[in-house]
Amino acid sequence: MLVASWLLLGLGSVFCLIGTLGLMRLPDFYSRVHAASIIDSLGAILILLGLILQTQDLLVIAKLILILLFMMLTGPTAVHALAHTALLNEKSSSTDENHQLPE
Amino acid sequence: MLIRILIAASLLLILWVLLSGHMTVLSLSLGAASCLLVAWLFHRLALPDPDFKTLYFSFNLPRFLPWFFLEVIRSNLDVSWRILHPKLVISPVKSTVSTKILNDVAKTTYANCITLTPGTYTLNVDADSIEVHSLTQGTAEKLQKGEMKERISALQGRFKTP
Amino acid sequence: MFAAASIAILIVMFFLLVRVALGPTIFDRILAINTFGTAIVLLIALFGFLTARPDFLDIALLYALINFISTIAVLKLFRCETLGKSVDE
Repeated sequence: MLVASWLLLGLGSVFCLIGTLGLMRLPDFYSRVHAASIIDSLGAILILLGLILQTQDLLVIAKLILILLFMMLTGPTAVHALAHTALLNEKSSSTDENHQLPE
Repeated sequence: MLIRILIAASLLLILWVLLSGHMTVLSLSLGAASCLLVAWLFHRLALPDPDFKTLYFSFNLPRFLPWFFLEVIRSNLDVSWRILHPKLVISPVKSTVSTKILNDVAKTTYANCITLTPGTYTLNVDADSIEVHSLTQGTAEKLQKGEMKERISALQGRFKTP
Repeated sequence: MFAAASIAILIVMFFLLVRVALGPTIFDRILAINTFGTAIVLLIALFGFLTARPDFLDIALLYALINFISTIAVLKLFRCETLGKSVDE
């Protein structure tokens, strides 16, 4: 049980690091979103699952599952809102000079 | 109306007990008061009425989750491999997926699932199509084949709306 | 092992801050801040286990919710230039 938990924690950390590497390496904003979603999905899932295996307390397990549930529901919504706003901004800035991105 | 507030408040109270872990009278009465307040506030928000369609879909959802979890792992490994590759083999592409056969709750679930799997995310949601950004040509083609859409539309059961 | 995972998350957070500083567009920064919030939630949960005090999970839960709301609020401010009205107006 503990070995499995350590394995999950280690793998989760590795995936978080890979996501960060992608965030640094990928060339433009629309590609970087993919790298960030590695941290949001598998990184978070594996680390929280690893923590669930560490404890016997049902209340703690319930809280960890709730955190996982909230993150899986809100994460995609935030990413979609971000990408949608970026797309709208791109469209409006190509026609309207006043809406340039602040540097 | 009162019934809906009471149902919402009792569900919230279960969450309260789950999070606090105390069963004293003081804690429970404070919890009940705040749950009623929150339920009343959300009633004023005028959310759409819950219907049988949504309920049916939600109860069917566990059938879909194991496959989806494997899919998340698969796409994570794919994107990780592409990031770690020294030449960064990516070919970002935008494509449009039709969602004509899905009802509203299925459409929302589909858009969320697309965003949750790395390699694809939704840019724009229209009445009967979703615009998707994919990291590679391959993932875009896989999305067009529509295995995930098939599985989600199977969860709708007899509540298929045009 | 908790310590090792926490250190990995701290490295992740450092590079996310580098991405916030580098930009180049404002959306890169918002993306990095949003992911930074996820990393903080994981770090708080790990720290709770590291110090054997699972009470920290309540804070992690709260942070997961507030992180989402802050991202949406910043995006709405960017799009509507005020927080007081709805998108349609």
